[in-house]
Amino acid sequence: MNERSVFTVDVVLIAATLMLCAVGVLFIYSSGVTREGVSISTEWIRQLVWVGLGLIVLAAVASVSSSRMRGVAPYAYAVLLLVLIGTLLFGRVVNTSRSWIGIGELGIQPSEFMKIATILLLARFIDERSASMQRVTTFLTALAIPMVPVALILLQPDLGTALVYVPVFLVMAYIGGARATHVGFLVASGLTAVVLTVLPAWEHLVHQGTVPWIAILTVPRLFAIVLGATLVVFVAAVAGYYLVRRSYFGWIAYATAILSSGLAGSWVGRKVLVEYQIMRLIVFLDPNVDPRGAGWHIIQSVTAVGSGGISGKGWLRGTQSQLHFLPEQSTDFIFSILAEEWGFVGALIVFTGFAAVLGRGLVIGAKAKDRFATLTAVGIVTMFFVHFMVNVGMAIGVMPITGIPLIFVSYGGSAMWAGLISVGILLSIYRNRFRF
Amino acid sequence: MGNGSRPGGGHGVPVSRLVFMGVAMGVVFVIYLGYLFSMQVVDGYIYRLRADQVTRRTAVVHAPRGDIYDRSVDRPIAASRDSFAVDINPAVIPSDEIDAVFVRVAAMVGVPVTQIYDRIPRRRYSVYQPVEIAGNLTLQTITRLAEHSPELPGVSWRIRPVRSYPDDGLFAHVLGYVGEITPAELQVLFNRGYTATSVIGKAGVELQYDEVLRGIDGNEYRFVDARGRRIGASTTNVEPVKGNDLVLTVDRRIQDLATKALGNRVGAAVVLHPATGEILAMVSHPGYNANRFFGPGGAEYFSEISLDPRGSFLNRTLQATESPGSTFKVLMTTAILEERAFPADRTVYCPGYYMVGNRVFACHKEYGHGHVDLATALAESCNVYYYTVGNEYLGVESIIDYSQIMGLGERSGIDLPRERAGLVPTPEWKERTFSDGWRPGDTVNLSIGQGFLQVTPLQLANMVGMIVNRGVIYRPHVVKEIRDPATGATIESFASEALRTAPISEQTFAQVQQMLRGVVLDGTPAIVMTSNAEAGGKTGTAETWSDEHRHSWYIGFAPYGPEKPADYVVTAVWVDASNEWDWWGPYATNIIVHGIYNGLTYEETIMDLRRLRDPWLWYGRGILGQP
Repeated sequence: MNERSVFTVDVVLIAATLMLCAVGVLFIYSSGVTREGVSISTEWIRQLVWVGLGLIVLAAVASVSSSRMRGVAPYAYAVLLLVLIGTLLFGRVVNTSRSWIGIGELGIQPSEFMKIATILLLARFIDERSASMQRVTTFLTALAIPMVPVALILLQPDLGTALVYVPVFLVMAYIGGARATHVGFLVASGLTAVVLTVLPAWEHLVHQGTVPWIAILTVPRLFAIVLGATLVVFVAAVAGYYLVRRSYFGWIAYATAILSSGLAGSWVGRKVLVEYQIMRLIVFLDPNVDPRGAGWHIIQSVTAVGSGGISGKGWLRGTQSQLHFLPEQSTDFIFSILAEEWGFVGALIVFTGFAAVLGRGLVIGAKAKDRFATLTAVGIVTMFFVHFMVNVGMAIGVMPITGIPLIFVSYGGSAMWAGLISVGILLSIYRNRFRF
Repeated sequence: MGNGSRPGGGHGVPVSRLVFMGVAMGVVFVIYLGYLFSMQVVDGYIYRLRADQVTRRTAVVHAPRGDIYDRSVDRPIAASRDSFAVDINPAVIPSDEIDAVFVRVAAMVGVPVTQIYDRIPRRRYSVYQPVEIAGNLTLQTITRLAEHSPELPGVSWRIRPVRSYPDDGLFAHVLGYVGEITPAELQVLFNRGYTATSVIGKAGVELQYDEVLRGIDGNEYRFVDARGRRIGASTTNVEPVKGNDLVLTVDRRIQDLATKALGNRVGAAVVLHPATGEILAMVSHPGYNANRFFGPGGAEYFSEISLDPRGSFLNRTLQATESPGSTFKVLMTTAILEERAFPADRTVYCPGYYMVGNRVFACHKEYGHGHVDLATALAESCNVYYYTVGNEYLGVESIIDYSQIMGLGERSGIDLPRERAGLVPTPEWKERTFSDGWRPGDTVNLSIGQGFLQVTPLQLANMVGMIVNRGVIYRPHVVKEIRDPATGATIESFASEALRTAPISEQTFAQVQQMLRGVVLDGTPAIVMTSNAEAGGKTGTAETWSDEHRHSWYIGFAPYGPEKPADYVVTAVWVDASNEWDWWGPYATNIIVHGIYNGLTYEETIMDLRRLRDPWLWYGRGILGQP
């Protein structure tokens, strides 16, 4: 069979990737053109260079076997962790966060590459501990692998990039055999924490009234009482569970644990999150709270997308993007330009491209020769998917603005290379799927 | 996925969980596509509309107001001049810089920063619309702004036509002035094409003829980028249409004469062409210079004028009412003659006082005029004669009838705003107002124009006009023609319109006119005399709170017995009691009439009069230099 050939490649995956990169260059060009048709930005040329060089890297990575990757994973993780620390100390500040490191004009965003290293190390860890993944201690140990870079990235601070690690971990752990209740606990307590973090701001910015029980979150005394009470219930339920072994005690303990960690998380969240980050979550709920500030992006982007119609206004003819109403148009809001200038048809093209990449990624994961490869593929697919869901969701107004790029399409060398390296890993897994 | 740990595939990864993952991602794809479909295809038109709003801005291009000419139509007395206005578009300024930008602009433009905060309230900070914060600025100011434009985001300027009055305050009360529309005015006028930035007439002709003068504002559509910068050429502009020009009936030379004749005395003068109702001059002092209302320092000047206790905005010729005093004797004489209440040649003995019951009414001549007939009584202004005839022969009802016939107590209908009607007291009015009956003393007072009677100078001018017109008052007006600003063609011409016709015989009017001429020749004000015209008239001294303060009136006409009635000119001058008493009414009239009929300017008139008249009279009043 041809598929047994050493040079077998996934044509669909490569074609979809190249198409997305090409569309990206087209709209990076469009974003840098004024209404008079004068190109005022060289970003599209740079992007072409990144894609060209990135394809070489992709080919190189694809030639490495997945077992070699498994061996390299801890070193890559350790080196990038050091680079992240270095970035925090010596990095360049771009858009208020210190996420760049490099010399002169050349620089990288280590956090983009760290995602890949984390996926590889996590895949290896889960693979090696597959027998004990159902245990809480193993689950929590695995959690530590993404949490260390997340902490460093949050210090930059780059909330969006950091948040990508969370679903990647959850999905990998879930696929790797972790208990659904463990994964569910993290999801539920995380969501609870976010909602409770935002509620006080929501109360006075969106609701513009007083909701009495929200005082629980803002008045320290009340907060301590409520948190204490949930903890007491939790302890009592745990005790009850071990004494009488009734399952409902277990569920009560589960629920109160989620609630109390959500409460505690929200307290920390309000202390840690910068005002503009809370504001972004608020304007996601109601952009008109701050139409010229944080809400501006959402309103402009949604207007651009909606005004595109079925076939769009034509390439280089978008009024919102050409008039620079859209901020960060070549990176975070590239999809808005595309949806404005190519309309629903253009969006369908991009969706098809991503559906092909993600679908092939899952198939590759399912066909992979070992669990490490499967988990790696799943991690990469999840990472792609989260970028896609958050970035496109933000452009169409269903996701809060977190400023993460649309992989392959958005301008930026680091994200592009991270994406192409990931595709290279997928291709390597695919190529080696029959080798044992 | 309850039993998610069930191994599948060849290497211990649960396939069901992979499938679950794929399905979950698929669901998100489908939701997103559905959402995009509803946004772009179903509701696309809403967003397209919004996109146009964001990018295509409409700027109002203010139409220049029409020019206003005096009757000579040689040059405008109110014109539109280009000046600069500064706008701030608050939405363009980063929110943490907004205060700094306001302060900087305020300092450069020379307006208080509070004015900017007033015009751009906090709730407008996010509205993407330029707001005008100062107008009537010079090129230098704009140059300075332009030099600092990098520090002034959101600040722009444009040429804005501004009103200018080349004669400063000369026509102040006739022309009025313009100003930015107030919210209250806009509320009333918003469906007549006014916008929040409209300039609107506030007084005088500017107010009365605002809709004629204002023209049609144009629109400028332009594409702007996120920073409010213009992109590309304007598309489909609607050019503003200049307002129509007006030609006034006012004569600049006579206006100047009358203004200077009144000098700095609080008072009013109106010169009327009775054959048509045209106002030749209309002066009220103190006035204002509307050129100073706008631009730097304008607000202070405006409030200074507004707060002046003498009422600088008041057009005293038609918005102030006073007792007519002895000028009312003209009306009384007409009534006596027409009603044949008392034969003109029969005399009344004037001992210097007149008694009704135990009330004593004095004549201004302490020891009395002796025996006086009607002509003498008018000439010498004998109060006792009119007390007697008015109270005993004519009666209050007749006096009221004749007052109404001659237009007192009613608005004249002049084409200027806020005219006052004055008051002709009637027994019913007194009963209603004071719950007190009409007494003989009231009739006595009324007979010499004192008491409750209130008239405007314009009403007295009309009254004299009726006499020289032999019974007709034409509607007084200040606008003669509306003209097309481009071609100069007349669009509308205001013909004279008979306002009221008196059921009084021509003979009576002729007699009254003759007696008024006699007043000038033999009577009290034997000073209104010119070389080219013979004048007739009547003085009046209306009593007020003290003997040192009396209103000085003079109403008159000239010339006497012209070849055709159209040659008549009527004057009414009123010098307010707040001035130092010097009985200035007749003197002012003398200057006006002499100037008119000799074609002289004020200065030439003074020199001429000095030659004609007893110089000491003039020196004594301090209006000429050393002899």
